[in-house]
Amino acid sequence: MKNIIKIFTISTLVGLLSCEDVETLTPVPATGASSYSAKFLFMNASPDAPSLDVYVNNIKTGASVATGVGHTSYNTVAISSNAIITAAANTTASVLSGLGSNTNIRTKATTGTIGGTLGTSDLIYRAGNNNSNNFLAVNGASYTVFVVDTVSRPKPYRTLRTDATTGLKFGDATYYSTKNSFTALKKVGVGDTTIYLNVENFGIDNNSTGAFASNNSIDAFNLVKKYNGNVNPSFMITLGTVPLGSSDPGGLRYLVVTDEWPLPSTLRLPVPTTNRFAARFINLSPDAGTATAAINGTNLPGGLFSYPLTQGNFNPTVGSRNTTGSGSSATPVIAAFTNNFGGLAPGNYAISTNAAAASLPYDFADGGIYTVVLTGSSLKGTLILSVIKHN
Amino acid sequence: MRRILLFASFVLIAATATAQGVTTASMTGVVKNSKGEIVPGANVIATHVASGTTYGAASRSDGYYNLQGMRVGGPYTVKTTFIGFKEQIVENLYLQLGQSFVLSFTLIDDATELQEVVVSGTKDPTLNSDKIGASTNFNVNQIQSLPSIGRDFRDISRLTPQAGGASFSFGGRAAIYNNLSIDGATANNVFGLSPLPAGQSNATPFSMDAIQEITVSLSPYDVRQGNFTGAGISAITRSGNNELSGSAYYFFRNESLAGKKVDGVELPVPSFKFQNYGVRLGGPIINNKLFYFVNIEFEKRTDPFYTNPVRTDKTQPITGATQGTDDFDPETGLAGLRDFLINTVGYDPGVYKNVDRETNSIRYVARLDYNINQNHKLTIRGNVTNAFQDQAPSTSAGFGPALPGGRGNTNNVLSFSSSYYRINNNNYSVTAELNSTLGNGKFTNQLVGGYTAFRDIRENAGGLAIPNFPLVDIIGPNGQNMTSFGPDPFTPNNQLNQDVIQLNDNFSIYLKNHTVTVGTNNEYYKFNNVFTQLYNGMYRYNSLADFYADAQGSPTIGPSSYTIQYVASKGGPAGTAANWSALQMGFYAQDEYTGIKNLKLTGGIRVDVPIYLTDLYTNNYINQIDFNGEQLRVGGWPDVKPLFSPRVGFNWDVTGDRSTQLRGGTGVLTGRVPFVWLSNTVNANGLYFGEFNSTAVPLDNTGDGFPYNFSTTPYRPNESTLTDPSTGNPTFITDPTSVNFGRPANVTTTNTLAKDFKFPQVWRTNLAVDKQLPYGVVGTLELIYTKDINAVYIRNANLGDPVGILAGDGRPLYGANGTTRQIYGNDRRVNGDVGQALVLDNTSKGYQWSITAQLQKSFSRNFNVSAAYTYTDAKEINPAFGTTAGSIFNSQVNVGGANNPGLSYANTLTPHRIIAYGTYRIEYKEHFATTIGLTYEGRSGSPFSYTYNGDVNSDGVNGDLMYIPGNQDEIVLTTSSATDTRTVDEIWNQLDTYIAQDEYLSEHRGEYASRFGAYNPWVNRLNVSLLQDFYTTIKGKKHTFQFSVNVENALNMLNSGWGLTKFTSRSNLVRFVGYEQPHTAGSATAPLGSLTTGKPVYAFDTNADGTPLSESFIPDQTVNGRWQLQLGFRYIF
Repeated sequence: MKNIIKIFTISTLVGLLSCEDVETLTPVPATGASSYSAKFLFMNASPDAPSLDVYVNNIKTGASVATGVGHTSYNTVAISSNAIITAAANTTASVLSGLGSNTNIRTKATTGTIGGTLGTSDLIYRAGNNNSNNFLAVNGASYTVFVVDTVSRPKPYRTLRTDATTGLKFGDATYYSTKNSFTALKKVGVGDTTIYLNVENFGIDNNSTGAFASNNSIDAFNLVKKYNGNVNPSFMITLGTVPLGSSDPGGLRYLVVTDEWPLPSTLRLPVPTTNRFAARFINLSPDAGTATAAINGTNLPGGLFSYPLTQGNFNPTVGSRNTTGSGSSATPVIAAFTNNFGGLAPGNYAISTNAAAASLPYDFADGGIYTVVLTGSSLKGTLILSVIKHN
Repeated sequence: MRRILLFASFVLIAATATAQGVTTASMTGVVKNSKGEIVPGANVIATHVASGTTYGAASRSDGYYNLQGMRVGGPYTVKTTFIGFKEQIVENLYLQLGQSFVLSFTLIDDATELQEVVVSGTKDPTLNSDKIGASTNFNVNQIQSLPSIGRDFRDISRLTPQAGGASFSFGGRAAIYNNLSIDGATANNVFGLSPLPAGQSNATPFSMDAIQEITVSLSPYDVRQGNFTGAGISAITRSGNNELSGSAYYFFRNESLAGKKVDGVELPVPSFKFQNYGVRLGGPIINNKLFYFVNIEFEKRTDPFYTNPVRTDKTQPITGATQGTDDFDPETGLAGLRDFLINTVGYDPGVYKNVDRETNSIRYVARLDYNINQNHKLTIRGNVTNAFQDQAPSTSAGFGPALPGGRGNTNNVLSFSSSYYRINNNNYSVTAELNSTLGNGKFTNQLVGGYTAFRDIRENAGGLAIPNFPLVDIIGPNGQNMTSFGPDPFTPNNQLNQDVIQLNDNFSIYLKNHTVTVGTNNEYYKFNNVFTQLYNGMYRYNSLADFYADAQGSPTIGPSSYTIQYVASKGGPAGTAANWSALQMGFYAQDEYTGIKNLKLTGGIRVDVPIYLTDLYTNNYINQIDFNGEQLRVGGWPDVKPLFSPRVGFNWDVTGDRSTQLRGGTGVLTGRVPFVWLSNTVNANGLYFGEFNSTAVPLDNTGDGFPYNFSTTPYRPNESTLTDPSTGNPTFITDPTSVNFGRPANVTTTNTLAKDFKFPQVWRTNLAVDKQLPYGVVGTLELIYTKDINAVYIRNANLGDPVGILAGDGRPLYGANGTTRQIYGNDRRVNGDVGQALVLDNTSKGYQWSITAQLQKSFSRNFNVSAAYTYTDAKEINPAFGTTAGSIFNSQVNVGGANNPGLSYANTLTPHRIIAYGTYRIEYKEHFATTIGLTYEGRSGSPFSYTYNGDVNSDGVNGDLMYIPGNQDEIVLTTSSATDTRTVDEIWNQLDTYIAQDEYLSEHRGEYASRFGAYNPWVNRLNVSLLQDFYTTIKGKKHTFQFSVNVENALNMLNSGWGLTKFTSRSNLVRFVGYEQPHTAGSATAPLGSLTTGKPVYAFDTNADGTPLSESFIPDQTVNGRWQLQLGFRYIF
């Protein structure tokens, strides 16, 4: 019997001793944060926003940036990932990131309200419809972030109309009038039952008389004609396609312009030759229409003056947009700097515009890199020229 | 002849016994004369008084007698006679299930004046020679007296010291490895979609009122017991007697009888109603000869599905937004959608709220006991369980794109009732058992035959027909699913029929000092499993507007995805059912040897042979693929090899007076796998089904618009439209002999079995000491050690080797995602034509051991208590918590890759467990009796794994074990979303604070978390039952009216902060967002693309309200986490 006990005791002990430990591996953890970064310059280009505090990845990079003319210098901010450029240069579509995005861009009113999904004074850059995406910054790139549009821009609605011929159809454009403080159109004309805009029950359109360019969009021109007896057609601005349930809260939004791109070298801040400077022009007024600007009488090149909001591609589904220096008809065009602008030597020159804004004398420095910006409201008579110096 | 009458004082209440017999008990002993000489030829007759059933044998030449196949319970009267000796009668004996009761006689000759009669009997069920392995027995009094609010035999069975925590596991092994037998016949759901019959309907397979006894056996060295590597749970049904007896009963509880607070916070309990009622009746058909017992029981429960009221005043929130600030009201929207579907589409989707879950079961048991004569006893038992439960639609999208938010009701989701479904579990079983005594007690034979049918059928909730309509999911403004309509993705074309036939026989020979048993245990299984996921097609829309537009024929707006599984083999195995059958045969022989004083030895060997009877279709295309040197055998069964289970055991009466005994044994147990794991290989062969899953935009491969636009008769691929792009061959195959036969129409998953795959086997050893302690207390110290010999391990043969090391982490990194057939790219797959190639294989890794200290005391038959503490350790490779090989593989969290999960803690492990229970009954004032039953369980919380939310090692399996950072430099963090206003430093501070307050994480900084290495907090549960009897005797018949109160979680009733069950707030603590640099796909010029060299980047999400996640655990707020009270009324006669 003792032998039996011994056998069992030994076998049990052997069994217990053979209990193996958890199988795992030896970690080799990271030893530091990501070394990737990008540079951001902010301008408050809204016609009516209060002064703004700006944040990148929730780090404050600008304080009390005044409306119309205020801007920061470039601030370098850590980003969480590098991006790989796989195809044609300078197109955001060809950028792959390990993350969907890596940068939060956020603006808060220093005082007052600006709308926004985070509250009445807190606005985020929104690359997607559900706030899950934000901005994809490329390591080594430089961006100028414009806060644009009016704080009273209405929240876009996708609207439904009934077509007697084809049944239910969906309009997907939202318009708003810039007249009388940028309010949304509710109904076009007293007693006019033809068209309703920006109301959830879009109403009946039985006599659109060719007003619909397609089943999914409304031609702005025809709408303009119908508005107010064709008196103020220029007050109609289309916001582009708006899916139902769009989370665009209205109000301010962002336009991010890529100034520098790490690779290839076709998109770099220019390096003016000695005794020269570089410049570009961007029209950011929501109601100035087509505008040009000139330095010392020489127009800044074409392609620079179209306010992106007037192009339906500034998708209100998103509420924000970024763009690069080269583009196509499908993307807003923001031209790059014109190096050695006009062959002008550094000096004080008048900047002028065909819009109703006062000309602006400005000292252009040797080797300076400038963006001339038109902001403010034509309707309100607040158009103004300003200059950003990038270096 | 004078008679000597003895009243046995043997009290057999304590809850331990061996499980040597399966359905009956036995009696043995030696007959001697007053000189101590053996008396051969003495007649020993035991009579089960209530039924008049007699069992008789003559003592053999060695003086021993054996009575086998005896009814469990009692009382028994045992009479011994021999010419020239006084007749001896022992009364009031009770036998337990499986017990071999030892009763020896010393006869006194007629001429001797009566002075002393010596009758020796085994008084204690623990301190007896039959107790060898670890087992626990529960008799009918305990079953009726101990609290069980669900009237569920599992509540009783779990009082076994070695039972697990929340799950029905034992000794650290998963519930799926248990075996349940009723009246000696297998009652398991062998297919294994749930471990127990009717488990999917949340019903118990039999009524507590139909059960006489339950035995839970963990380490049987009786080779008759097999087919499990966890625990064998054996139940026997009640029998009728000569006296008519019965009971009618009704139990009830609802939300008003449940706690209103959780940890001091008032939280409403969703309304529910539970009723259990039935009747049992037993009596004679022919006195002393033929008896019947019948029981019918109904159980009904109604719960609301709609427990998360979506804001009726506000709108579906956008992440980070203030509720109510947006423009979509889901209720208004869904009302409009319902009108649109009815009026425009012509489909009634049902309602979208106020949907109830009905749970219903009816259980019938009928039993006949026929005493053919003293030597032959026949028992026939039939039982039927018809059960169903309504279920919320599955959250899964099958092989389609994952569905954010799921389909069940949440604050975001309101699905229409047409998506809810009903599972019906209908079980039918009949068994017959013939116990025979032959050769005047020298031989016994037990013959058991049985047939069991399982019929699992799905319907729509409410018992409605499944609509012939596709499933449609519509995403809401916040990116989560908003609503679904159309049938559940896994309900159409889903049915399971199981037929199990079994035939067992045990033949025992009683020799001097030896009891030799030979026998066979055979089970035949036939399965018909119809299962096609997404058979009706699944549409997904990004918005309600998109659906409206598409449903009206928009040429430009369509679904964001369309998914369907279709029958892919033209002229081939067109049936979508897996029809197959198998046989498991067992043969065994054993000997019990009692030739050494105070020592009993058992030794035996059992051999089990699984045989597969159905030839399956093979898949030549997949079979010829080289998976890194391995070729699969689609449709191939494992080689048939016998599995041997040798076992030995002993019981040593150390002191010779049974005050101390040492017992133990060692041996091999052979079980089964859930047959659904094997069934996967029958139909997951790349032949039966094609999978169409289009997320491309535009959803058109014909150039004529959007063929996958919404239709009530969805698009199904057909031979004319689908061709293999690389060959131009049609993907519908007509020639089964062709190599191309079975080339998947699209990427598909295959399941195969390793050629040498074996059923699970473990080597189990136990060593125990039982000792009589002061005050009649019996103490037990028991050690059980189990080593896996053949554990089940599932691997993916199509997962390539790691391609690097993950920067900033150190774990192996696999190739990039490959969800579609790719020509180029860093596909993690070995072969791009195949998705996962899962192989069921074996590993010897894994073990379990436990040590139990137990104290028991039986004050009387009406008063007994038991208390035990058990420490358990268990490790395994694959947690067995899936119903398919794929679900198991895809849920095995790991560090080294899904094919290298590594040994880690078992997911059913409960390291520390205290279990105590007792019953006390007192009768008073001639008409009153009060019975109190108590159970207390204190145990470790259930284990869980700290993982990443995401697939950080790119092996295709989400939920990789996280590295627990020691400082901020060790983890790259980013914001959770565009609305996240935290800086990276703030995010780290929140994560660091969380880690610091978490016991597991703080102790393991700088390490990878272990699979199931963390535990939820300690659980205390006290349950109480109070039975108040009022009885009287009318015309000689006792009539009892009984009121009962059953309190579940009584501690919580005393204080809402006590008795809480807490669960982890978030086990997937941080979310893998991506790498610093991505993998890139290959191209024609750079076919390998590039693999990431970047570190992983994580988000540490806040709570839904934006506050930091700061506490590891939250209490269970459901009704199951609070006290509940159940009222009952019973009439007994």
